[in-house]
Amino acid sequence: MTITANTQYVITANDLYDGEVVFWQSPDAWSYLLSDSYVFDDKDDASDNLGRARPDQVVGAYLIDVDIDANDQITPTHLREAIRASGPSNYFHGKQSDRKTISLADRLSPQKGT
Amino acid sequence: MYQYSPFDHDYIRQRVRIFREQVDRRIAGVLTEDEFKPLRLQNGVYLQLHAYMLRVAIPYGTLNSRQMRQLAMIADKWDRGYGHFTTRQNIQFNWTKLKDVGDILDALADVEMHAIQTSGNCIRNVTADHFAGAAKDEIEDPRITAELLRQWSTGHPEFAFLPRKFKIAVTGADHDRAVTAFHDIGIGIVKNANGATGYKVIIGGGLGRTPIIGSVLQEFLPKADLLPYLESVLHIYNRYGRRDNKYKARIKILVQELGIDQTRAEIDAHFESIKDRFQDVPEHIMARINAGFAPPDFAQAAAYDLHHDLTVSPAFAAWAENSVMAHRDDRHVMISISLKTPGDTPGDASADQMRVMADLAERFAYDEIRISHEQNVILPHVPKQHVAELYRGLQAAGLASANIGQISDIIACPGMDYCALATARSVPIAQDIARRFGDIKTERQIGPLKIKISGCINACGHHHVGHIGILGLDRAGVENYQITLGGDGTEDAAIGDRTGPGFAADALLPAIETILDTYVEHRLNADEHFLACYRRIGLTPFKKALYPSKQKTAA
Ligand code: SF4
Repeated sequence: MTITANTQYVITANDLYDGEVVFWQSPDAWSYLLSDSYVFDDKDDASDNLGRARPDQVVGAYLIDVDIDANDQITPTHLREAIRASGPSNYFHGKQSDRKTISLADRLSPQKGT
Repeated sequence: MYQYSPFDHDYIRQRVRIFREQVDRRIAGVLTEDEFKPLRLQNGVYLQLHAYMLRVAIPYGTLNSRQMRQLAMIADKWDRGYGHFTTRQNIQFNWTKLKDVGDILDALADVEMHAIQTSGNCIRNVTADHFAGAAKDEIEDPRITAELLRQWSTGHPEFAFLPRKFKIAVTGADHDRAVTAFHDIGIGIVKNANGATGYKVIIGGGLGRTPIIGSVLQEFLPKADLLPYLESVLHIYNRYGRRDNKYKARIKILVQELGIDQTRAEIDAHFESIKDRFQDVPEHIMARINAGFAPPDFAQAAAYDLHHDLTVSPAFAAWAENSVMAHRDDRHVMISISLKTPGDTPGDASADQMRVMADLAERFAYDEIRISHEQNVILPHVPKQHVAELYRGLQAAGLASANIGQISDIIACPGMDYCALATARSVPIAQDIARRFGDIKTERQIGPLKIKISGCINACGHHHVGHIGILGLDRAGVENYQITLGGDGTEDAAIGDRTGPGFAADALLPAIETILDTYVEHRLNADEHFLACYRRIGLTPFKKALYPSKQKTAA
């Protein structure tokens, strides 16, 4: 997908203890839900906070590109991140079932796109 | 099967204790992730997209019912009620938590299993023909050699930090079901002109981003020379293998750079220098290993004619046609259980299914279970008189798909639904293909066909050796699938030819249909199977059908 001028950023990682995908909310606070995550407009700002991710809490923190739609829904621009945010496509497992978050199928349905 | 010695037991328990301490130190913040990662990988713990993944070794794919039940228990207690059997005859649990891994490893140790050397730059689980000890065309049970190699390579200090991972496969039969031409080392048990048994050694094969068919290093290696000879191979690899570039670090690249003759000269020179110092494997150790693989007493089973059972039930007959194979003892058969029910995830078994297979193996099959690299389960020795009852047991558990060796018996790696390295999904592609073409009528019409799917260039799904290979790539954030045709992982090893530009996910099923139609149109008759037809007519007719004109080429 083309990266547009209004690309925004979310910090993500995996929780050290259980391995689950987490999203940065505020310093030292991580959420299991993409919908809780803090969305950065500025990449440098995001990178600064990324650098402060605590290695005794999370593993492998990095930035992902997201879009925000008219309903304020955060959508990762890349499929891989959509799968991380919801769960796999072969079973209704992961966040889509455990955390009752938006399902992968809904994230991938066409009306969610541009 | 091989039983652990007291030494094996102590060693495994000690490794679990050490790993528990490492986890504690990681959680306490004493170890950084960079320090901890190689330690967890040495114990089979990966971090994947949604969770930690634990890869458990199933040496040469052999399990008994007690072990299978324990895997089911682990799946229920610490995972989500299922496990994924891999192309390396291992099992992966996709949803483990780091804090539980110590307990899982102890539960594995209870049944003589572990996750050591399932990752990292070491000698990995040695794989073998899944019909070992049962196949008609077998010279010798390859698991005896595989177990010897396991004992030699486990914890061997010189091989703990190789330039890259190292995979060995062993076959003891004429027909190569262990894909030996595509391993770092492939070993075939052969007989020479004098009738002596020895090893044909193939080196430098591999899949991944640089697929290469292995070269013959030795046509006939005397049995007694195996360990010093392989030690020499590893020594040369350790010395000259590239450590500067991960993508050039496998031994296949070294063999390409040196050439097979130079490679052989280097190995032979080292072998000459060490072979006298190398002690023969003590007889009592060899005797222990041999005893571990003594076949069941086949004479217990009565002679039985399956013919009558087959005429009674057409469904049973359809299943038996693909799932039941001749055994070396004619009172027995070998049975393949498909983990590929169309619509399901290839290689996945639920905990309940694992327990059913364990029960059936215990009741009807001398308690022996195998995992095949094609991600199916094998009962290698089944008395013919029990086949019909065993079938009913499988059927009740949703394990009686009649598709072994057919279109819907697809190998697929976990792909982007789970794997951190993936560039595209593979499981939904396998599901779509199996749903679309997996009905008995279509499968009968098409005949034997191997479709193999990988979710990235690493090729865990063996796509290069699929009759139809599918490789999932990322094209500007969108999944795109490249197709190869004519690959073959057997003794007639071939790497598939790329058809041309890849296909978007929604154009892939029509492309597969076009390939199948082209095959049916060109085959001499229904007995000319896909691969034979492809070898005769080549890529051109398929290319023409897939890309009728450049303008219309799929995105
Ligand atoms: S082929 Fe790639 S995507 Fe598939 S399991 Fe291997 S590394 Fe992961």
